Amino acid sequence: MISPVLGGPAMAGSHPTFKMPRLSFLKGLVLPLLILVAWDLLARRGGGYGFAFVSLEGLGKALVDTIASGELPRHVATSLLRVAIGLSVGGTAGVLIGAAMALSPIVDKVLGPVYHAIRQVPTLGWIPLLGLWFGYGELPKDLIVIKAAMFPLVLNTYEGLKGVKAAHVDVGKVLTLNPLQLFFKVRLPSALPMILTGLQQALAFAWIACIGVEILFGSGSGIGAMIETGQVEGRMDVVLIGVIFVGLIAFALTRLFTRLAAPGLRWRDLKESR
Amino acid sequence: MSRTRPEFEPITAGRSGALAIRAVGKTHHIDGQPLEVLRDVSLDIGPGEFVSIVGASGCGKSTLLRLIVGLDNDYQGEIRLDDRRILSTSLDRGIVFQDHRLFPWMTVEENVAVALDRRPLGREAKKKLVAESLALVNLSGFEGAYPHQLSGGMAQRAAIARALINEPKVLLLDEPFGALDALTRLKLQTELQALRRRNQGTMLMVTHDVEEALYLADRVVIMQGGPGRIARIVPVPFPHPRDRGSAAFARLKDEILAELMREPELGSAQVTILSQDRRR
Amino acid sequence: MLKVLRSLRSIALSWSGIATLLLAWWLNTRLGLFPPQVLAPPERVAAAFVAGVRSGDLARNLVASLSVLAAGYVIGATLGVAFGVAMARSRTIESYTSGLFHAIRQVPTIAFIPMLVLMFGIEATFKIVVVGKASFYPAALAAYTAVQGLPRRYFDVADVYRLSPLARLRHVILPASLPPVLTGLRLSLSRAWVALVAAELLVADRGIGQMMELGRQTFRLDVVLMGVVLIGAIGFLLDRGFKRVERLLVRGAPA
Repeated sequence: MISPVLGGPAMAGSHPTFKMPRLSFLKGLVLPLLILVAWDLLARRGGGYGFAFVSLEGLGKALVDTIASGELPRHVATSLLRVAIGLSVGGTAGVLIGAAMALSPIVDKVLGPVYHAIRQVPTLGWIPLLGLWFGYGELPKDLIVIKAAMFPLVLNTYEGLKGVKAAHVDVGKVLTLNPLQLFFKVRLPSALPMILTGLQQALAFAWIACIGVEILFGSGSGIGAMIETGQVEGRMDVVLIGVIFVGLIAFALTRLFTRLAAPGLRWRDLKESR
Repeated sequence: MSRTRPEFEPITAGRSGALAIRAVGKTHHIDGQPLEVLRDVSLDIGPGEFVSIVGASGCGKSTLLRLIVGLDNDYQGEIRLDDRRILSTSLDRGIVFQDHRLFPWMTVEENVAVALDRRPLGREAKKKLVAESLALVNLSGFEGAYPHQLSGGMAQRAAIARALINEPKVLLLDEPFGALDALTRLKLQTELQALRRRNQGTMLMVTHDVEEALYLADRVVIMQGGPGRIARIVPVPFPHPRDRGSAAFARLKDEILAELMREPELGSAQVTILSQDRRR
Repeated sequence: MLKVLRSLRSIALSWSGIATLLLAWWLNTRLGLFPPQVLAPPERVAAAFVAGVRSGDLARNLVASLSVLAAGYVIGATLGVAFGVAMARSRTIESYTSGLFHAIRQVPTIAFIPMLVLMFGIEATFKIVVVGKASFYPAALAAYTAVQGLPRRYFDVADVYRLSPLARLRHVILPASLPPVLTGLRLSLSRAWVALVAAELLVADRGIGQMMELGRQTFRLDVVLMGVVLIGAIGFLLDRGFKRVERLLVRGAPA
């Protein structure tokens, strides 16, 4: 249900010749600019809101400072590393567990209810518990991100493998493929689009969870920690820079994923995938 | 896998297979309710023969093909190919389904090559075989296409190439042209007839198109539903290429159609059950 | 007989995973493998729940959380649906707003929380804004996609029978777009709940999340565990309840 409705108007796909006119791109800038101007005016006027609003000039200066001091790059690197750990550990575990549940009815029966019970609690809700258990180091944060990356992949791998058409499996059997060949030539490729969708969700959830744990733990390094420290110190400029980078990185990660996943999905008929 | 002496001497000349279907019965269980789909079906098909089974949908003809190809071995009676009991799938038998069932994630070439997965052949040999079999069905030049890029007729040709590449002793065709438009169907029927002249394999085709059966087959088996059984076997005496417009052809077609229409409960087994209820 | 045995086996299997977890928990505390500050025994968690109910603390926190959830959700989801429909129906609105809309969408709600604290403090207003932001997006996207994606052929049918605009709305637009919009609203609700819990965990004067955070600071593992179970249960019930409503509203439509 987290189908990404990509930017721009939906008709772009059905009419390849139709392109969004330049003008409309400019129109899209009007509102953000208005907000920026209003923001800047409020900040300059000071008064009651001076604390919450920071001028554009101040924001630019803070950006240069945080980059020059190496602080921002360090936080970004920490967060990205955390997401990488979460995706590789949680993703692998998720695919393995999902596959085991799809292929073995017993594993499905035993693990299914546990999975769904744990799934009911929002990822960030586990933070106080993990904080008590593992203290304030990197381990509880990484565990949360691993959990966030794992859960969508369990579900999508499971659904993908369960959804393999019996007709395709029959063809494999007619060609006398053994169970291993049947898995790698038929079941896995058939489930791949679903698994990739799961990976995309895992990426998004891992990023959200990463920022979330860093904010909620509020200590150590990472963009979330930078935002939270900024809030505690009343530094709106630092908070804003953090928020902007969270958004930019989320966007870049999604783009990168789509780029990398596209070759694996070349066979899909657009009409069918809808 | 007992090797008892057959009643007739099997002529396993080249790659043709003799198919012996003996007193085959099959019952499906739907929600615990038994539904008899085949009863006491017996049929002998000689090596190199082309037999066509016609009958209304639900008469169990596709089920029979599933049993012969080896996807289902839970049935009564026995099915033997060259005197070997059929227990599972084997490269001896190829099948073409109504829906082409190409794997959408593989190109045409890969789809045909996957049929060679279990054969101990070198990469080059496999490549050569794939190219040959694609040429046989006039698909050269489409090796790299994905199934969704093909028309229905082309996809079905690729499916035929996949089924023929192992030179099976028996080729089973389950309404292979049923989903195609009329013109493509005629074209593929002619191509199949041409293929048959080159390939010595035995063929068994299920169809509901009586004309198609008469155009291609040496014998036409008429099946009736509820439960599926053989009503009549009609030899087709015309030499190839056959003339669909000839008076004799039309007469035989009318005769078979009349046979098919005769039974009032020709439809599915359910229709039979309903009419039995009414009689009560 | 065999059938009964088989279904018994199936029930036993499906409970075995959860039962093993509970048993391990109970045994752990029985055998003293972990001190109660690390893993509170089940009865301690139950006792914390009873104590919370008796003192009225639990009810106060629940009411605080749920009233904020209700207020923020109604505001955010309503605005979201209205905005989504407007964006789908008007090219002008879409071209002016979609840039900002999708830019903000890139930032997860949780990352906005510190900023909103600086702007609104830590009381109800702040939490309502957080919940509203979290509910706004799924609702807006679902409404936009649903209205934008109404198949042309539905309108062809409407044209053939010369339906009036009102009849069009009643017989075509509403019923055709209702199911996806409802699904979006359900997603909104669960996102809103997650965001609220996160906000309360970070800073708040009261609420379930704050109760857990206090439990953590005072090493009351029983309270924290009770909180985990509670937020899971509430999330589950909200989703189930909404699904019920969905099923009532869209009868006959494919799920």
